[in-house]
Amino acid sequence: MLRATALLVTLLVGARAYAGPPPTRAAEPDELPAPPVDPPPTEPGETDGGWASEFPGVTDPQELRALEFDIHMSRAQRYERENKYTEAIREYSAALKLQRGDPGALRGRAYLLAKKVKEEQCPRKAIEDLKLLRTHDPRGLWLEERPTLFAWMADCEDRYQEERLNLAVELAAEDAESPGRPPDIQYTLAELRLRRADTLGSSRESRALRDEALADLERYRQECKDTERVPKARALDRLARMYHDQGDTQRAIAVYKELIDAYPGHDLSRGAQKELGELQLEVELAKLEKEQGGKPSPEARASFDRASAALMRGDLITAESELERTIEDSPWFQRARYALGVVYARQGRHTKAVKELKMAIRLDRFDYEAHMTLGLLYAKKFAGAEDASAIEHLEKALELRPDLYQLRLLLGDLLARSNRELARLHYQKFLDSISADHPDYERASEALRGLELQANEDVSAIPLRPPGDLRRLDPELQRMINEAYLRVGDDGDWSQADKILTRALQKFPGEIAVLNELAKVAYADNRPGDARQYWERSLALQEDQREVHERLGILLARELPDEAMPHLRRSAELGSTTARFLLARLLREQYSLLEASRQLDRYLTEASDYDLHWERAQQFRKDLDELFLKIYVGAGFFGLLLLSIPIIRIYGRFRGASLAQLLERAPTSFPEVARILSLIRHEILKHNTAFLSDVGRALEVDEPGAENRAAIVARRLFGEPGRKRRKRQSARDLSTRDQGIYGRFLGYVDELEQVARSHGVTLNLHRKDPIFSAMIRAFEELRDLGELQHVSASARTSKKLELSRKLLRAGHVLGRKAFERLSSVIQSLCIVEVTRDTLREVFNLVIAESQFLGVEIAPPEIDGDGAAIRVFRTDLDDIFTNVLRNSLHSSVLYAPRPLRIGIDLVTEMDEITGLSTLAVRIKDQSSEKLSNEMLRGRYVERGMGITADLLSRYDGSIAVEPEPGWQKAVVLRFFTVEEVSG
Amino acid sequence: MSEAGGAVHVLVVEDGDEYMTNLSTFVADGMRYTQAKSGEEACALAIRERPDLVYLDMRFDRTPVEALLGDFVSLTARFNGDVARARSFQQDNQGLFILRALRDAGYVGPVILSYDFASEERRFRALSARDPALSYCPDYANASEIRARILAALQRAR
Repeated sequence: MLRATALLVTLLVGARAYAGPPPTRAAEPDELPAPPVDPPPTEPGETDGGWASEFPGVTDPQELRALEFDIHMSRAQRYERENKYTEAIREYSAALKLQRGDPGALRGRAYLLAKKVKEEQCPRKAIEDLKLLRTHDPRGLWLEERPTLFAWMADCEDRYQEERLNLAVELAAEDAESPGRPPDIQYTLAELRLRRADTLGSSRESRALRDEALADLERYRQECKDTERVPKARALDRLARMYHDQGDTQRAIAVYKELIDAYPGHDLSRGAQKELGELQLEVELAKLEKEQGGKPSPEARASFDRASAALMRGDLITAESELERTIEDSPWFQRARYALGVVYARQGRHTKAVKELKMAIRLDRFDYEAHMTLGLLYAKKFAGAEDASAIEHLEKALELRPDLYQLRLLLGDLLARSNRELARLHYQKFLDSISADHPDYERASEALRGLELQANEDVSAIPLRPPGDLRRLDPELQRMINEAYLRVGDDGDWSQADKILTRALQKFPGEIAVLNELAKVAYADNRPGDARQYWERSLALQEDQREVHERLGILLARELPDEAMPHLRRSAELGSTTARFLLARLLREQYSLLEASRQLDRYLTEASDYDLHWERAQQFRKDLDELFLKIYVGAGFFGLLLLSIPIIRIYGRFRGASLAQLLERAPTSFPEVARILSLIRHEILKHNTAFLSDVGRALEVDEPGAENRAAIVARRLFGEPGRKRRKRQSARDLSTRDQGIYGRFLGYVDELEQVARSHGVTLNLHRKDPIFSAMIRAFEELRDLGELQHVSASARTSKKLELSRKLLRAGHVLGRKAFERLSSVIQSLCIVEVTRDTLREVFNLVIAESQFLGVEIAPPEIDGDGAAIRVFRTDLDDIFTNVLRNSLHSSVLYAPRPLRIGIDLVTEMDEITGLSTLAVRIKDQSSEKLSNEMLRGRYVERGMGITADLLSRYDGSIAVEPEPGWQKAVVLRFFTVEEVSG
Repeated sequence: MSEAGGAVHVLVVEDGDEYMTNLSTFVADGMRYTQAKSGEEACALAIRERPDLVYLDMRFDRTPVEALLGDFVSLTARFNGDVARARSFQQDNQGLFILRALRDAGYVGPVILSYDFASEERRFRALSARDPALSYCPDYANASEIRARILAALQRAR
């Protein structure tokens, strides 16, 4: 008995010792009662004999049962202390079998079961045990363990949502000082209610739950204030958001400020700061809207117009000052806010730009341009930090302007990393909207290929939004439009929206807003024809609608570019940069390159980095510049080619030399020139031009037969009348010998030019030679000589007089004067006076040659008088040198010493022709045989072939003749020339 | 010789028709022209018709070479065996060869050589020394000048 009592005491003491804090959770067994994991050690009562054998003195079954319960509890607590949870749970379970619902055992087992569950997993069995406390110990442990139960339920997602909410309500309703009431229970309750509301959608119950949650949060905030605690940051954030959503801006601002003050540097504080800015903006806006009561003042409008003009020409400073003045005057002026945002953006003042653009959006949430610009600004200038905002605004812009398909490319790029499927859809839609020759087609296609995900569904119809100026509409019209949008928004029912808007139009036929909305609906419903009709009707009512012009331009651009052009042009005039860019593109497609370039330049001036088409415009400018460069190069080349033709002709006319210059530069051309000049004199002039003056005088005095003589002269000069048609041709073209005397003359002119070319000189007798140019002009002047017979009787007299004057002039030029001038060209040239000294000089030079050094040579025996001959001096020297050298050389071999050379200068005269010849007889004593054939043949050594050629050039000759007292004489003969007298 | 009160008979010797045309057109009054186109023909006509005057061209490049007068062999020798130059010389001076032939044939009347000896006075002097009835008329002479030359030549011959 004593032993049993001692044991019981020990167990009870152990049981009391268990009143400590609830154990932390660990792994739990799958089912209750849990099967033992390890074989338990043998304990009293666990033998086959049962507990009765352990307490032989206890016979009362109730007492024995109590003892047994105590022992299990005692063991459980001991195992628990030893961290033998499985055994402890088994003991608690055994105790609960003996006393069902025992609070201590329930709580003990619940904690152990919770301990066995992994962190953040639902301790369902533990919760079930604790829940039993409400039944078995409602005023005791239940009250204590409610917070624990509440906390465990939080890990079980929606399983205990309802019970937890009720429990929270129960706890929250209690006094703040009540035991076991969690201090943040009001906040927790609010979150539970909101969660519940989320599952209920937009039902009344849901709204009621939200209202209760807001009240809970406010109570929580008050409790904290009462107990001087700081509310949780999340609670404040939630409360502020709820106030914001409900439109209670002032309260939202107050709570956000509280959050920022209480948690400086906290993540939620940073978000709150941002939201606070937005809300303050809204407040300011609300204030403005309250104040504005309508449109900007005339002064603000005027200032805005000046700013717009400055912006269009890229004068940002003026634009900024004017816009600031505008906004100061009329702060509600939405377009001014937008424009100022653009100005700031272009100046790189991005923060200010964002603020103004947001204000513009607040003033008109449906300003697609503001959304687009803000989105582009976020996308381009915030290095990815604001991509979400960029996407948000660009999507808004796309919603408002689905025809700006370029936005899809941007959105595709932005979404490619975060939402591949949506990015893919945007790319796909973009590709569907453009043709394969679009500059971005390849890029979009490649991006699309890069996104491996397949599109699961088409992009849902983008809900239309009511227009931004609804507040200015008739309330009934506004209601009808709203209804139409609701139809589209909720049901996607375009036809219903169309019907409602059509009814609205019937009721408000002069309202452009209805027409514009009808057009948007038709466009969205893929009825472009109807859309066009509505927009055109809208423009008929009010022409200066920038966006309508722009949309019509875009609508018509692909199929009807000519009709699209005026709309785009007008829209651009009204300030649309998109229209300006598209107009430039369209003009380029129409090959109006200069106009396209001009429009593109205007776009680049008016737009900025934050325009939808900016990058494309840069590339477009580059492409155009390259194209222009090619055109300019081509045109320049062509122009140069065109220019070069007259230049070459002019150069051809004025370059070259005169005959005198030819003879000066190439004296060796003299014989050929002289021959041709002689031919001109004898063939051209002597028979034909001598009588020109006679004919002229005959015509002048109207002698009988004068016209006949003129005709004869004309035929002689220019050939048969049938060939006169060629008079339009240039003089050079007529240089054929079958064109009468003049043709033959020009033939000689050609011949002279060929001779000159063969001597490396370009002659220009037509322009540069005073003799020939005058002669050619004189011939040309007589071209209409043959027309006299075709002239009417009345005009004949004057024609005769005219021809008479021409003939007298030509007779003067082509008559004696021409003879004399042509003769003078050659008479003074290349005349060499051959004297004894001439030959002595040459002789001395020859004997000084090395081959004759040491040879005994007697002084030359030179005799006779020389004469003037026509020869080029160096040629003459060569001739003499070669002949003397050969004679000496031959003499060295075949003549006795001292060598003797004799030279006679003899003038001979031909009886028949009267021509004088200077014979230079070079005599030697060489016995070497020499014949004329040898001298004139090429096989003669020592240069005699060349000598023969030189002689022939000057009509000279060489011959071997016998000479008394000498072995022979080599005789050189030249025609002499007479000195020109007077 | 001039016919009493009649026209002066002029034998025109040329290789073409230019002189004949010009003279008969521009120097027609009191003149009668007969034409010969080669030296041989000129000699025949001169002997047969005894013209008052022979108007003789100098250059005959359109006359067939076989009809040209002059020792072509010696001419070729003079020009180093250059046939072309020799032929050119023969043609250029054919008038003088014909003159010699006319005299050899017995024609003694005045002869006007259509050639400008102004720059070759010495040459003309040599020629006229042998043939006093020889005169010349430059190529550029107009109608009145030609007429004057013809008349002067006839006057001298008388």
